[in-house]
Amino acid sequence: MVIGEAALRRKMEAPNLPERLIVTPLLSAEQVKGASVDVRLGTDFILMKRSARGPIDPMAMDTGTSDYQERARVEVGEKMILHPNQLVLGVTLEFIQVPQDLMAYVIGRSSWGRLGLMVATAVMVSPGYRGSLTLELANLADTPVYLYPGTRVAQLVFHQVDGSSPAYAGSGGKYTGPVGPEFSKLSWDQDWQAIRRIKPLGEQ
Amino acid sequence: METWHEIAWKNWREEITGALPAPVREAVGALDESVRTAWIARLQAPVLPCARTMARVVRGGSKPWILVPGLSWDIAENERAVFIAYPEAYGNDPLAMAAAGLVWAQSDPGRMQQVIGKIGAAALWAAWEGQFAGPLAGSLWQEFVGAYGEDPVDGPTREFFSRQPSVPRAPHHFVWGNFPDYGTYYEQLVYGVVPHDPGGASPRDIPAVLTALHFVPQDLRQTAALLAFKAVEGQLLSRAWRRAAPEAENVEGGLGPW
Repeated sequence: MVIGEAALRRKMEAPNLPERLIVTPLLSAEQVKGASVDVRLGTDFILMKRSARGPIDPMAMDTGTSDYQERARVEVGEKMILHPNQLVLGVTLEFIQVPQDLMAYVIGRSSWGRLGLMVATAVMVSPGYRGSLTLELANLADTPVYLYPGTRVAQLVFHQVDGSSPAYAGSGGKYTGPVGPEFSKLSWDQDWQAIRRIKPLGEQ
Repeated sequence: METWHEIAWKNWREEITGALPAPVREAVGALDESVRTAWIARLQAPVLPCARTMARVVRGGSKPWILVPGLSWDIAENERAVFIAYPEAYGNDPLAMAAAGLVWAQSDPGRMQQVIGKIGAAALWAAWEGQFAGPLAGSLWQEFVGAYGEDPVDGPTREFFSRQPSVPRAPHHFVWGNFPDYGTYYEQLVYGVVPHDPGGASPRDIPAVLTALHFVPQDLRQTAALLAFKAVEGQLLSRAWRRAAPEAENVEGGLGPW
């Protein structure tokens, strides 16, 4: 069930912190409209650059990320260029808490999509999540496009979750998510341990 | 005739200052020669967003402030600008960076009053958090206690001020506002979310957010600093947004002293 505007506003006013839907700062009341909450592009970015030392190995990304990424700050009122086929990691201006009984989908605004900008390929926000959302921003068009922090780039559509188990609250309420963009944590996956040990079938 | 060493330093200074915006370059050029090279060296590193933002919160006077990272607090001032170096290790902490106001005030009680007017009781916390007391520390402590009593003061802050030079015979009188109502923001910081007002609005009371941060337990302190800074930044942005888009229905409140 998609959560409508009135219910979203009630959730945002919930007296108990764990039950509260938090989206802050909310620059305009118009951001909560219909059945979604608009989120804005934040000011911090991770720019991907061509590595001089080697490719990204998702199995071993713990060190040396500065070789293929750099952080940049672009204030509201400034702009940054996104070249064709360039990927940057951005972040929502808003810090978000999704209560345990909700989850959200991140949907890029179609008006940006028509310029070739793809937003947020990782589209699901789990129940209990706290933090700003990292946005994968890619320019799929042939023309460079400017990004302006503070503009509304995506919508959050919230759904009711029936009987969810906490995805983030296992640390006794001390969990705090990021306030800036985060690089891939693929190397943290437990699956790598198994994949490292498995010999290709032809070698067995 | 210049030695090659003098020429090398001259080239080095020109290379670095040449990349600076014209007003900064001119302000650096107006610094006393005995300190100019040290400030040029500091200008090579970018200022952290939190340090820059908090300078905006506490800033007084009519001259621009130029913040640079360093190993400790330092200040140089001329007719064009105020240069303030902050300890880079504390640069992501909004309350520690509020101490830039105390550095600017130095021994000028009029300046100190301006800082107190902007961040209220947080001026005292900023001294301990930023590890800077300055020549007015005695008066700051005595006037704070006179306004609010010693009950709100935690042990580390009390101990910090007990090590400062004693109060002058004629302490300066400062006007403080009400003690910040920080309980809600403290609860939010300890819980692990960005301090906010009902409905997701940014906190209108920045001194209350800074006071809440001061009382967060040490094991949560650095994470809470990032959350508190996000709240301060959100409030400043909300005010700017309100000024820029007055026709838009806005969830934020009135304009403050920032």
